[in-house]
Amino acid sequence: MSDESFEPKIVAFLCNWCTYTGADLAGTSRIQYPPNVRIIRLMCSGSVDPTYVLKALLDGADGVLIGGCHPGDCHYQSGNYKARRRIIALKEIVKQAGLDEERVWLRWVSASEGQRFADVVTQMVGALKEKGPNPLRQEWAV
Amino acid sequence: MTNEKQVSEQNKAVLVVGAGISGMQSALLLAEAGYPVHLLDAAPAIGGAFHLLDRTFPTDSCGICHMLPGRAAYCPTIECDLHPNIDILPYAEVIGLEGEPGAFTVRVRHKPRYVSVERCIDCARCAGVCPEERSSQYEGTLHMERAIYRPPLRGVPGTYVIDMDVCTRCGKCIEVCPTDAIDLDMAPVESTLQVGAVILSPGFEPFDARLKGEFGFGHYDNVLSSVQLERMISFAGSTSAHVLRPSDGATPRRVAFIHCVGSRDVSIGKGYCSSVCCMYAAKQVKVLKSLEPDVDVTVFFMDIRAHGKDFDAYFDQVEALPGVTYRRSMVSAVHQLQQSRNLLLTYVAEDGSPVEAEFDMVVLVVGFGAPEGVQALGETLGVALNEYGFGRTGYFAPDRSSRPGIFLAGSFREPKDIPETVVEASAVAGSAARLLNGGSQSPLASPEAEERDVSEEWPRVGVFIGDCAGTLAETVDLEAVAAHARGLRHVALAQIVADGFAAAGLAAVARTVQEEKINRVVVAGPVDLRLSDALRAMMAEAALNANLLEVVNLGGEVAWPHAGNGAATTKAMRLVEMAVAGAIYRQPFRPPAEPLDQRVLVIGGGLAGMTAALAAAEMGHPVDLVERDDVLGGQLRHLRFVLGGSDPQAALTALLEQVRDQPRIRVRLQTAVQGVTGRLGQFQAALAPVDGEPEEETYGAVIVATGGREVTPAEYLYGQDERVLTQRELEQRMADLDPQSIVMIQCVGSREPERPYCSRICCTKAVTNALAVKERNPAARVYVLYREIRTYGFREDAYRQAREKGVIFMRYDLDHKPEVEALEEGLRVRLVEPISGRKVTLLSDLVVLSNGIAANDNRALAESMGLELDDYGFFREEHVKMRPLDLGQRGIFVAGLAHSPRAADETIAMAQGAAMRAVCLLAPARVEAQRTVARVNPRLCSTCGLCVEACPYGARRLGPDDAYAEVLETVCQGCGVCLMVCPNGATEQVGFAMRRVYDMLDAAVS
Repeated sequence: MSDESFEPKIVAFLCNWCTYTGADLAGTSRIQYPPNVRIIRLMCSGSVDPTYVLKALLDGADGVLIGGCHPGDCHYQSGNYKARRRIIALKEIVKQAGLDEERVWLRWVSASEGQRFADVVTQMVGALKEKGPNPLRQEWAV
Repeated sequence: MTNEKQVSEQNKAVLVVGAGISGMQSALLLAEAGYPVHLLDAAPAIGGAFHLLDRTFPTDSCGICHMLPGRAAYCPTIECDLHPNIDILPYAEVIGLEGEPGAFTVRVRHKPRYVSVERCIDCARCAGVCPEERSSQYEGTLHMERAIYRPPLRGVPGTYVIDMDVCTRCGKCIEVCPTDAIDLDMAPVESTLQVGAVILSPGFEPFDARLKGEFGFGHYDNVLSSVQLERMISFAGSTSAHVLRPSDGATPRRVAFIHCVGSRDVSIGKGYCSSVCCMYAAKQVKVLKSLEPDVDVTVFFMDIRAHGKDFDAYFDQVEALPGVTYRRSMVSAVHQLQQSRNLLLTYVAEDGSPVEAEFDMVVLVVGFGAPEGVQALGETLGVALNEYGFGRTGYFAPDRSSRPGIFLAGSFREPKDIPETVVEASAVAGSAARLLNGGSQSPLASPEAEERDVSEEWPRVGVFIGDCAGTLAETVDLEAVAAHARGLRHVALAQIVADGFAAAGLAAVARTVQEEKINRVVVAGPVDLRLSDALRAMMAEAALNANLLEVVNLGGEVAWPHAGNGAATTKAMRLVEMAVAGAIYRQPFRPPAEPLDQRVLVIGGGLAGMTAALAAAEMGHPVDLVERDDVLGGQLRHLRFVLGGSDPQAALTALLEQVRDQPRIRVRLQTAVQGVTGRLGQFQAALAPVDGEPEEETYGAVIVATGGREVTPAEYLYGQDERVLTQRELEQRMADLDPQSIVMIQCVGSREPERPYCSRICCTKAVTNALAVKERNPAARVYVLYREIRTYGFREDAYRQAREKGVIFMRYDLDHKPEVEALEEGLRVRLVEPISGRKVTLLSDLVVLSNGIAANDNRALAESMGLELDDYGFFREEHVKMRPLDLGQRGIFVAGLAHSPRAADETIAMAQGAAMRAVCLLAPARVEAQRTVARVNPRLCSTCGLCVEACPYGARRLGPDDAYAEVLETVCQGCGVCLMVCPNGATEQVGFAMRRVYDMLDAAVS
């Protein structure tokens, strides 16, 4: 289903050091990307609790983006690896619960990759527009 | 430096010239240790070569943020900007220096950037109207930018600059600048600095490949320099990691790399090896293959110099990639084909015949030259340079220039890789600190301000919205956002701050917060990181704890990336709503602190240990230098010759005297360190003297300098025939022996299956000893049988001299190792030349084996400290590239052969660097917890131990009587991982309560 007027709502959990800094860089560099993403900043992608992702989906978010440092670059040694393992398992749970696991994205974006952050959001918005709204969404008032 | 002198407070300042990786590291360490630093750079923004790099070998990631003093950090450019002790002087040069160590007066000229750093808000409007173009230096000239341009992304200051060579003074930029920041008549300004010491780290200049005309760089479109390719394969580069032929934008299918362009080439005055090109080119090949898997790569090279830790393994991986061919041959010429713009390379095949091959793209792997203008700088400062224009230092004083009080580090001293740069930068920071009398207590701990107790108050949130010269209001209806905020629960007031978040605006916010009894503050606007100090000061002014502040980045997250987008205002409202929801959960927090024991334990009394002990002691710390043997000196005792002619035994004697005369050092011989436990500031070491009772001592920091050992050769008749020696034995018996012929065999016990790493020093050692033999007896015949010659840096000069003096170098490969046979008349050595397959037989008086270096048995020590060893028994550093001195536990550092094989000069730098890192952590005299530290509620904890397992720092452990999993607050780095694995919600993280995130989510999604 594809609806021209549908604007997906994305919640992004970004690590403080790499991905948030990259997102800020996209902004300060005036790189344009769609305004569909709302960022919640955490210290590390390894501290994204699975319940945050599930709650976002149950509340009706169309997509959840988790952003961390590239493999090997975690500021807390191994948090991004923990995030990666956890998100793989979480996607399985999301699928078993009858939700669409492809609404959950994990991406590595470094502090200098403003363009990459913008690209990721743009791609995600495009992919979610293809999918249509999260079926759990009760109402969507922008 | 041994005669400590009193210097005035003012002269505790240090000037760092050159703010690349080296300069930033030195500046940050000195600043952390409490010294004021002036960080000067010739470029409009600090960062140096770091801006060119996206990924580095062997980690294939950036990782630059890891180089900082042991805590999570932003890019070093930003950290330098944020540090209260660092004063950044961009776009400046030193034009005069007078005085003496401890009291220099430096004259500085600030070049005009024609845009005020204070006023420019980086809105980019000027570049939007500028009609003139220049090629971007930071994109390797492949990308065009305007005459008014912004320094690279992570550069500081990130404000615009005008290139007056291109500017036509049309004035269009002045018309659109909203803050009147542009002044086309800006003049240079001079200023004077009083400093106690100077660190020179102006870095390097990539070789200008146009000077090698035969390769056609600058004439042929598809001949790139490796700097240009580096930008092309970077995600942050102008092509966003797409490799494109400049002539037609097509993806190349056949790419040639040509090594040693501007290195190892006396014809252009670059006789030295640039040390890092083999490896960075290997990385480029690997990244190129990952971006364009179908591309065929041919690499033309002379020797592969993979002499760093883990480098050989990385290189082998790259060489084995499908479609990658390494060809040991130099290209004599490159010609462009007219129609296709393809390139025809002429080279000599292994059998000696000339070959031509066609490629779509050619990459010239350029070397490092001395930076531009450094000749003049050297003259201004009275610092001697070598024949290539690099800074000159002594072998046993690698930190010092020819002028006392001026120290050298990084690529300016010799082309080098990042880990060595980080090491040297740390070392010279220590050298400056020692000169300035060390022991400066950090003024970082701010006095405790009076704060209003809000614990009994119902949340009253104040929302303050600020603009940045109208750039937010262009896209976001700020009045509507304020109106929306006023309707939110707990919001007492929401207002637009007339002056934005400049000083006057923040003062007004602080007043309002006090008058209106606000107890949670939400600040929404252009909240750059650089504002964080000002915001904290504002909170203090308002008598509120800084943790009661929540910020909304309306610039970076909304107005700027969604310019003109109708949905931006809605997003801004939503973000403010989320922040208000989050703010309610914020609680006052004062980081707990612990005192730090100031004593340092140095394990191992060789060159590394003695040097580290001396450095730490001269910086004011009591040191225990513990040696298992009955004598100090370690491997240095056996060294007779080093390159450059310094006398190692004289250096050892001097060092022993210094250690003996240093009252803060206590030497403990014949004492083993059985184990070290505890944490930064309070390590407990179990010391076991040979004849005495075991003791336990407490130290603030530990430096591991346990050394290494020579591999005992197990082949080539060693131990069976007395005419077969090791290099060390040759060195010691040089005076007695008078050989007419010597065959040296390289890589004995190195780069073999059981020990696949390169021992780094043996090539230089062989060349040094070959030259010593030739010195005594020019007629002696010396053969060196090698696999690769790795005389990196200026060591290459010695390799060339050896060849000039008639030393014959012959290659062998691992499949056909030389064979040694004992005959009456001498030793017969047979080998097969790899290229021709020709068999060669040599008869010689002596066979000398270049035996490698192996690790000592460090297992018990490592285990007690919770540290890892690598596959070969060397200590594994925290980050192979950016933190070579740090081991896995905060407060434990490593130096010398315990880390990896290295030469004596490199060991000295490493030991000095390790001492500085230790002192830097101990300098504040107390360690504070992070602001996002974990907390535990003992009543909810079930002692399942998941947090203990998850914590990467060992900050969680089962506490008193195993009743609950406690948090070691000063060890916790505040990542929040333990919070997430806790099944009972017993763990919380300051500032990140789960309820806060849930409520923010509700605000985001509802």
